[in-house]
Amino acid sequence: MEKLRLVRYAAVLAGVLGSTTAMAAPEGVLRVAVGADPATFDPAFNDLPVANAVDLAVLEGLFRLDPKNNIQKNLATDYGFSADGKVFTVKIKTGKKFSNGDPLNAEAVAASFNRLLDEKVGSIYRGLYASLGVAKAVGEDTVEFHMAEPNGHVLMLLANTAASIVNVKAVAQMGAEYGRKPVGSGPYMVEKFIGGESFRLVPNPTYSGDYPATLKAIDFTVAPEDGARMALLETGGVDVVERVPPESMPAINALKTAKVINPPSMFSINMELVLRGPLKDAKVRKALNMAIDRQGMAEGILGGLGTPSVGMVGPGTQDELRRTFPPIKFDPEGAKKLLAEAGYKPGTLQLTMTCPNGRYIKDAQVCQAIAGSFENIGVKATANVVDRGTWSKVVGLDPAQRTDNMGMVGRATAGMDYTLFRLFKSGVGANRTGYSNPKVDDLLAEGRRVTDPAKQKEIYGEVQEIVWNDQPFIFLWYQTQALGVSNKVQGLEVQPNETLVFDKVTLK
Amino acid sequence: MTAAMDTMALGATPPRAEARTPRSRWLTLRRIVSQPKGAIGLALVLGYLLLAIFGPMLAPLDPFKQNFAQTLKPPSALHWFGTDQLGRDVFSRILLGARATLGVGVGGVAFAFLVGVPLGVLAAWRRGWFDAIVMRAIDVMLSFPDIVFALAIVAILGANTQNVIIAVGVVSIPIFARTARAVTLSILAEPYVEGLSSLGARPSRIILRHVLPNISGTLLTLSTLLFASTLLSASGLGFLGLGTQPPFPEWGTMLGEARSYIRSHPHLATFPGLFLAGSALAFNLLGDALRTVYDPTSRGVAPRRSWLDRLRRAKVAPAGAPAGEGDAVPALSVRGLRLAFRTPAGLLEVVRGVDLTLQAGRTLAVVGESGSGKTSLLRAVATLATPAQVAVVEGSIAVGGESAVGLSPAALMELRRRKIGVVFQDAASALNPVLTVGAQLAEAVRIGTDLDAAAVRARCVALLEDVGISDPERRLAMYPHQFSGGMKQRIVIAIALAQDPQLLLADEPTSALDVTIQQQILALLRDIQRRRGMAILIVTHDLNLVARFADDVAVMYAGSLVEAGEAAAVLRSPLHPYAQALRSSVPGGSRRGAPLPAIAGEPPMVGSLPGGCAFRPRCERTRGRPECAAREPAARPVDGRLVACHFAEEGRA
Amino acid sequence: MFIPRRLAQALPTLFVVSLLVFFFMDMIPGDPAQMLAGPAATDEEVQSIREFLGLNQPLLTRYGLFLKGLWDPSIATSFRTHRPVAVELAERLPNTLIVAIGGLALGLVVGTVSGVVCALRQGGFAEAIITVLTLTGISMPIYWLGLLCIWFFAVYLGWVPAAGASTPMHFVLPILVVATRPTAMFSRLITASLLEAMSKDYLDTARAKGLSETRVIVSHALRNSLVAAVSVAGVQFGGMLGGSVVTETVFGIPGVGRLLVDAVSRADYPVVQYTILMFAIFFVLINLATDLLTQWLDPRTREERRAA
Repeated sequence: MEKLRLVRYAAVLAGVLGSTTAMAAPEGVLRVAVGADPATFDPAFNDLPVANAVDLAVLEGLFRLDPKNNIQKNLATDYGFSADGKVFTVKIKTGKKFSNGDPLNAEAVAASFNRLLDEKVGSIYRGLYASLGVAKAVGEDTVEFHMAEPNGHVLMLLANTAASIVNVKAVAQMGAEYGRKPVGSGPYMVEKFIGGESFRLVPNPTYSGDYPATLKAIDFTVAPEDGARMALLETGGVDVVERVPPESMPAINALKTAKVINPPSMFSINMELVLRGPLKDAKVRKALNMAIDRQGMAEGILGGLGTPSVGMVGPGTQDELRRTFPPIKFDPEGAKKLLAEAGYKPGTLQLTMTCPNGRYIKDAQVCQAIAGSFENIGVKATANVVDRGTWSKVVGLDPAQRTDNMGMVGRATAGMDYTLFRLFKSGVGANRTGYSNPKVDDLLAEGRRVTDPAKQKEIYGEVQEIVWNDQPFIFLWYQTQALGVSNKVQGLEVQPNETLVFDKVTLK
Repeated sequence: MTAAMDTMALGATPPRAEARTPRSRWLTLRRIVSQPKGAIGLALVLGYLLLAIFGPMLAPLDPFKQNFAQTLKPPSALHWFGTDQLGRDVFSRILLGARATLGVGVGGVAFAFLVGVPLGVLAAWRRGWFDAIVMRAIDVMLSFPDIVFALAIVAILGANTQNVIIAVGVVSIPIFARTARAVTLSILAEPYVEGLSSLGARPSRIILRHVLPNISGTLLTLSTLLFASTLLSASGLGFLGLGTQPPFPEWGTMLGEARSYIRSHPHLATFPGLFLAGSALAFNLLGDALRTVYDPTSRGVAPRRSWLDRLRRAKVAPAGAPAGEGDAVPALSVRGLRLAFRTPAGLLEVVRGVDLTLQAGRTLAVVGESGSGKTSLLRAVATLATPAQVAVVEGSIAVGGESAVGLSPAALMELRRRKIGVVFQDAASALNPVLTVGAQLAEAVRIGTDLDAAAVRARCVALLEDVGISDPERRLAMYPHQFSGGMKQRIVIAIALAQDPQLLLADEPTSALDVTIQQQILALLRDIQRRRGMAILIVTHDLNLVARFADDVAVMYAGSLVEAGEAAAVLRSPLHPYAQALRSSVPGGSRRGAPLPAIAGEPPMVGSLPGGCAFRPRCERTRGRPECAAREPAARPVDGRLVACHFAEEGRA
Repeated sequence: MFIPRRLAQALPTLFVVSLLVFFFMDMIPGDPAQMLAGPAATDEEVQSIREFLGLNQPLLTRYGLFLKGLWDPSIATSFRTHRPVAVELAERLPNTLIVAIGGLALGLVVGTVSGVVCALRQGGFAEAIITVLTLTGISMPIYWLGLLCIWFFAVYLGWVPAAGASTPMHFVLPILVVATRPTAMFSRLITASLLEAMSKDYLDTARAKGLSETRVIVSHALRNSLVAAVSVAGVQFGGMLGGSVVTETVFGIPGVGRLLVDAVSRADYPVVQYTILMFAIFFVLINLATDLLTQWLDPRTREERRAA
C-alpha cells in the first residue's frame, strides 16, 4: 500500500511538473449520452450537432469557432483577399500529419475543399460553399480559393465544421466507412463506432497543435428516448447528457452528483408566415405577434428553455454584426384592435399552421398554445402537427404552393449573410415566406460584397431592423440548451450551435 | 400481424361452433354473466361505452382551456387528474378522449369486419380464382409487420383520426377474411347445407340464413378480442407521433405525449395509461367469456370442488373388506358403489348402489343403454374417474383385494400399474398421435421396473407378437395414424397387458371396428385371458358379443344393476322386464353390434328419476301396481341370478 | 423437395411485397433531398442533391435498381450514411434477434409453466392470479410498460442499465418486457389446449399405465399442446420483429426496428425499402420454419404433406 501511494505521489508530482513544461498526459474516460444517432461523421454529409462535436475533435479546419462562436485560426496562420476580392489566400501550418501518417499540406487542404465542391460527391453543403469556387495548392503551405463570387463572409464559412479538412486519399480507400472512422488531424480519433449504439474517441498520437487531448477516451452512448437518456445520468451510467427536457431539469438538479447547465443556443424559433392573403397586411402580422405570451410560454411550456426574441437572428450568429430590439409586448387587447382596424371581425380570419413534432423543444405543444393564443384574439386557428417528412416538405414548398399560412421553423445558421440573404432576399430559393423588399435586396447584395467589418455592421444592422419591423415571422424565442453534467466533469463548453467542445475537459 | 394474429390463433373457433350456438341472445348474456370474467368484462365494457357517450357532457372543465400558470399540476380537488403541459384539465380531457379512443377501436374493427367478412365468405363460396386472389392478397398483407403496415398507411394518408381508423382496420382485414373463410367453408361442407343447395336454394339465401348466423358467434368473439388489440395498435401509432391530431384528446396520444413526463409528473401518463389498459382489459375479458360460450372446445364453467365435497369423499368406506368368499380373493369386488357427477347445481348420481364380484379367469359383461352409468362404473373401477368431476359418494371398489378408493396419488399409480389394464372404445383416440407406438408401449413396460433399453425393447416386441402384430420390430417406430383401426386396438391391448394386470377393463372395445376385425379382437382377448388367467370386465351394448364372449352378465339401468348372473342363463331367459326388452330387441342372428333398437319410452334422465322403480315409466309389467311406485326393488336371488324387480317371477317363460 | 417448393411458392408474394414497398415509399410525403439539404436550402441545392441520389430517374429504372440491389449490395446504399444497406442491417440485426428470440424463449418457458399450472388448478387461486396477470399483460401498451420498468428497475432499484445494448445486462429489461405478450399468449394457449387434451382418451391410457400425473401431463398432454404453440410462436416472433419498432426506441437498442423508424423519419428510402422487404422475407422463413417444426412434432401432418 505504502509503496503504491508513493508511486501515486510521484505520478501526481510528475503531472504537476509536466504541465509546466509539456502537456498533461490524457486521463480519465468521459461518458456522454446523446439523443441523436449520428449517421456519419463525414463533414460533407453530417448535419447533427453531435457529429459536429466529433468533427471538431477529430478533424481540423483552417479556422474554428470558440465556445462563443468567435472565429479563431486553426490550421491557418495567415490569410487575405486579393485586391479584386476574387482570390482568397490562406497560409497553413507546416509539418502537420493526418492520423494515418499522410501529410496534411496545402495539396491535401485543396483536395478536401475540391471534394466538398464536387458535384459527384453530392455533399449537402455544396451550395453553401459554392462561392469558394476552386481551391488550388501553391507550394507546401499556401492554398488559394479562386472565388466563384465575392464573399465577405468567407471566414465564417471556413470556420464551420463542414469545412473541416478530410483526408481525401483515405476517403477514396475507405468509401462510406470514412464516415464512421474519419481520418483527420484533430486531437482525437474515432476508435470504434457501433451504429446506433455507441462510439468512442481516443487521443490521436500524431496530433500536434494547441488543443491536445486531455482525456484517455470519450465514450458516446446513443439514447434517443428522453426518459432512458436521463436515467443514464441519474444511475451514474454517463457523465454528460445532452438535450435535457425541461420537465427533467428539477430531477437532475436534485441529484447530488450532477447539475443542469444552460448554455445559450443560436436556434431562433419562429412561425414563418406565408405572406399571402390576410398576412400581406402588416397590421394582421403585428396583431398576431402581439397575441403571443412569449414569456409565459417559455416558462410554462418550455420550462425556461427559451428567451423571448429580440431580433430575428439568434445570439452567437456573428454577434459583432447582430442588432437587438425591445421585445414584442404581449397585448391581446391591442391585437384585437389592430385586427378590427385591418377589417377583420372576430372569427372571420382563419389560419392554419404547420408544426413539426419532436424537432424543437416542445414544438407540438407550443403549436397548440399558439393556436390557443390566436383564438383568444378572435382568429380561428388550426394547428397541424405533422411528422418530420410532411413538415420538411411543407416548409420547403414555394410560397405560391403553400396551402397553410405559417410554419414553425428553427434557424441556426452559418452567419449573418447566409441567414438573412437566404431568408429575405427576393427570389432566392430558400426564401419561403415570399418576403420581398427592394431596400433589403439592395442592402443584402451590398453586404455580401463588402469586406469592411464596420460597413458590414451598418448594412446588416439596417436589414435586421427592417425585418424586425416588417414582421414576416411571428418571432418567438431563442432556445436555451440544457445539458446534464456530472460534477466530476470540468471544462466542458458548448457552442451556441449546440456543438460540444471537449478541448479542455478534465475529470475530477 | 402481431396482436391481431394472436387473437386469431386463439379466436378462430373450429367449425363445430354452430352445434352449441345459444338459441337466444338472452341465453348468451346469461352464459357470459355467469362467468366472473364475463361479468366483470361486460360491466367494464358497458362502463366504457357510457363514458364514450356521456363523457364529454360530464367534463367539469373546458378540456381545451390552456393556462400557462397552471401547467403540470398534480391531482387536486379542482383538477382531479391534475393538469397537462398546457395547463389543461386532464380529467376533462380523458372524459372527452373516451369517444375518440373507443371510436378508433370500434371504427377500426368495424372497417375490418365490413371488408374482411364479405371477402372471406365470398372467397369460401365462390372458390376458384376469386379465392386464390383473396388468399394471395392476405399472404402479402401478412408479410408486413402490422405496426409497420399501419405506419405506412398513416404516413401516406396523413395523421388524423379517420386515417388511423383506416390503418388499424386494414391491418385486421386479413384476420377477419381468413376466419370468415375458414368457418364458412366448414359450414358449407355440412351435409344439411349441401342438401339445401342441391335442393336449389338460392346461394344468397343459404349465406344469409344458414352461414351468417352460424359464424356470428365466432366473429363476435373475434371482434371483441381484436378490439383490444386495435386500441393498442392505435395507441402505438400515437406513441410514434402518428395518432390523432392535437389538441383533440385521445388516450393513446395523451399517453405518447406524456411519456417524457413519466418520471417528473407521473400523473400525466398514469391516467390515460390506466384508462387505455383498462379498456383493452375489458374487451379481452369479454372476448374470453364470449369464446367460452361459443367455442365448444374450450371448457364450460369449470367444475368446482367445494370443501363440502372433499369432506364427503372422506366418508367413503376405506378398503372394501375383502368378502370372505373362502379360497380366492376376487379380481374385482365392488360393494354398494354410488357415484355422482359434480355439477354447478350439486351432485348428480349416476351409479346408485352397484355390487359386483369378478373372479380371476372370468369375463363379466356390463350391458345397458347409453346413459345407464356403465361407463362411469368402468372408469371408477379403472380409477380414472377424475375426483374433480366424479365423486365416489359411497361404497368400495377392491381390485385384487386392494381398495381402489381414497388412495394417495402414488398408491393409485402403483395400483393401476400392477393390477389394472384398460382397453378403450376408440383406439384411435386412445393412442397419442404424436408419439411412436414403440414409445407409448415402452413407457408402459418401463414404468416401475429397472429394465434397460434392450430389455424394454424385447418386451415390447414380445407384447406386439402376443397381440398378433407381425413384423413388430419395424412397427415400433411407426405412428398410430399409420395403423388400421384393428391394429390400433391390438396395440392398445398390448399396452394394457404390458404389466400383466389381474384385471382387464374394456369399454366397448370393438364397437368402432368392422365385424371381422371385431371377431379377431375378441378371439385375441379370449386367448390372452386363457393364457394369463386374468379377469375381464367388458362394457358393451352388444348382446351378441355378450353371448359369445362373457361368462357373466350384469344388466344396468339408470345406475343400478337390474339383473346379473351367468351370461348363458340370463340371455336365454331374462327375468327383469328391461333385460327382456333388451333381448327381444336383438334378432337372433349374428348381426354386427349395431346400436340397440329402441325400447319403448325415453331412457331416464339422470337426476330426474321417478320414485320407486326407475324402470316403471317404460315397464309393461307394472300396469299401475302400487308396489312399483312405492319403493325401489332391491336385487334378490331368483333362479340362480340377482334380479331387481318386485315381480321378477312373472318373467319366467 | 418440400423446402424449395415452399420457397418457390413464396416468390410471387415477395415480388408483390417488393412492388408495394417500393411504390408505397414514393407516396409517403417528404422528399429525401429536401430533408438532407435542410430548411435553409435553395431549390437549386435540393435539385442537385436529388440528382445525386438518383431520384430524378424514371420510376421503373429506380425499381430496377432496387431489385438489382438485392444481388449487388454496393449499389443499395443508404441516403444518409452511403454505406450499403446490407451492412447497416447486418450490424443491427443481432440486437433485434437477441431481444426477439430471448423474449420468445422466456415467454415460452414462463407461459408454458403458468399455463400448465392454470390448467391443473382450475378454479383455484393460482388460476385467478395467472388469468389476471396474462390479461393485464396483453392489455398494457408495451411502451408504457417499458418506461415504467425502466423507471422502476433501472432508476429506482438500479439493478439494470437504463438504455443501450453494450453488455448482456442491457438486454435483461427489454427481454423481460417484450416477453409479457408471448407469455400471456402461451399461457392462455397452453391452458386452453391442455384442458382440451385432458379429455382425450390417450391421457387415460397413459394414466392406466401407471404413469404419474406429472408425466402424463408433460409427455402426453403438453407435447400435443406444443404443436399449437409452435404456430403461435411463429406469429409471435414475427410480431416481435415488427414490435421492435417501438421497443427499440423505448430501450435505446440499436436494432433494425429503430433503424427503420429513423429511416422513415429521415426519408432514407433504400433503408426503409430493404428493411421492410427483409421483414417480409423473415416472415416467409418463419412460416416455413413453423410448418417444418409442426411436422416434426406432429407426425400426422407429415402424411398430409406427402399426400398433397
